[in-house]
Amino acid sequence: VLRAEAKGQALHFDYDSLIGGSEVFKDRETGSRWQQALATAISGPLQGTHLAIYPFLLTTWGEWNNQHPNTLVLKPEPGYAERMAAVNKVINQGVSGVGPAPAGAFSHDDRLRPRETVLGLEVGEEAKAFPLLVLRKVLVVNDRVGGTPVVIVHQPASDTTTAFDAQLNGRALKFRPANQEASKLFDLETHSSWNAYGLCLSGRLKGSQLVSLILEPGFWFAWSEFHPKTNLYSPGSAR
Amino acid sequence: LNELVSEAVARTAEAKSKDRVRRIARILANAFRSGPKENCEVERELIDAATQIAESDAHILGVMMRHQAEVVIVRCLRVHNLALSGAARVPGVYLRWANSLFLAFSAFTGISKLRAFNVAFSSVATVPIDIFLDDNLRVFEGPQGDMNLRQPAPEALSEQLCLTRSPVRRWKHRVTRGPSERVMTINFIRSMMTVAAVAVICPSSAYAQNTTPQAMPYTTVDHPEFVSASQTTFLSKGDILIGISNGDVAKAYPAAILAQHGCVQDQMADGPIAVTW
Repeated sequence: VLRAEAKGQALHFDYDSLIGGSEVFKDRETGSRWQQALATAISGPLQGTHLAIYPFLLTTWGEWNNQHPNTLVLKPEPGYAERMAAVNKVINQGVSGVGPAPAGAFSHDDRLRPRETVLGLEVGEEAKAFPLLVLRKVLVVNDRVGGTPVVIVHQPASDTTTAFDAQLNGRALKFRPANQEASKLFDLETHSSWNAYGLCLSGRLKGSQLVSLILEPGFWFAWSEFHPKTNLYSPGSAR
Repeated sequence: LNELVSEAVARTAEAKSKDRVRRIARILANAFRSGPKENCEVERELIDAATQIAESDAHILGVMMRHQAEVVIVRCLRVHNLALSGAARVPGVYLRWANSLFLAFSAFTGISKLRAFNVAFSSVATVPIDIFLDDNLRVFEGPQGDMNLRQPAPEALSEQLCLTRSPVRRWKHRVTRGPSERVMTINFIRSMMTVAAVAVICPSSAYAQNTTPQAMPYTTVDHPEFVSASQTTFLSKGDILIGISNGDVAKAYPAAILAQHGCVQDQMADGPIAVTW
């Protein structure tokens, strides 16, 4: 999800092409072409301009509806509605990691299989990828990215991953899952209880809210292509 | 064309299955749609193939049709060493469960224009390879399309394929060494030719068997409409979505909608956003 404005101008995007297996959009206002994975214009008058990423969460309808009972939901247009079931099938298979990179992909970083889903995190100058398959096992990761202590929380029931700056009032906290679903956490410092959305539910820190970080889900081939210096999380590598 | 029709009628009398008759009818329909022509060699060849193709291949095609949403079309920067020109991006097709086989196929058939289409795989050699070895056999050449997770309208399905001869010849040339290797090669070519034949001959009729509704235009949504959670009848608990919350406002963009449009433009309290998939 991108902020659709650059240099004070609202932008409207249309699909343009694929480069390196990733989508490129063209804006109607200036005709600049934008590489989605970089949120950057790669040609046209706005070449080199970055768009800000708008905070978003990739999750399931069940989980989102629980968290946001008053949510609005985008309505499918006629014709599109009928195809949702078939498209969902493809999307659900997409996270399995099977298959090679599309032949147009430029990067061949073999630290992971090309189609493994990773959650990318950029803090400061550092980009780090957290493989979904690993997160499903470890559930909670305490790490440092770009010098900042962070915590990544994965709730396997809805395959939902959230990330936070783990600092509160200048103190870095470390977290552990409090249940198998990782819907509840506790911090090692105060043993306060937290939910997976960075809110402290009980204990000394009750009411505190961690600052949310934006995770960018994607295939490894695309993430490694557009973040060539990316670090890759593996259990034991956490700082 | 009249001559072609009478020939086709004779062939349908020989055809032992309803499906074969249907395929022949499709070929004729396409021939008429494409207007007057000097000779009907291509159509004759297609009818030949249509009457010879094994039902097992047709069956495999039917299975493929039902899974056609899994056909992911990408651009191939480099299709093995056989890309038509080194720098050109050659559109290719990529199938998740048999992609290496398919890439090999697209490489040596030299498909240079290929829009979303449907292909069957079979190891059964049933189609004489000769029919594809004529120079520049151009079948149902269609407009160059965008490559993505999208499907063509049924009428576009018959305009998909452009096969050229030379890569096949080169490929054959490269692999005629030992006897066993040669046998393997021939079998490989034959099975690939079956694939090509099925892809050319059957798309329309096979599409008709398919129960998945046709794809819609892959275009940005400029004026998104929303419903409340209680009115949301089109999602199940496990369906993936992108959620955004800002203050009191929470909005959900189902992945199955985003993937069909590519982009949804929307307005939040703090500015315009583009939700992409």
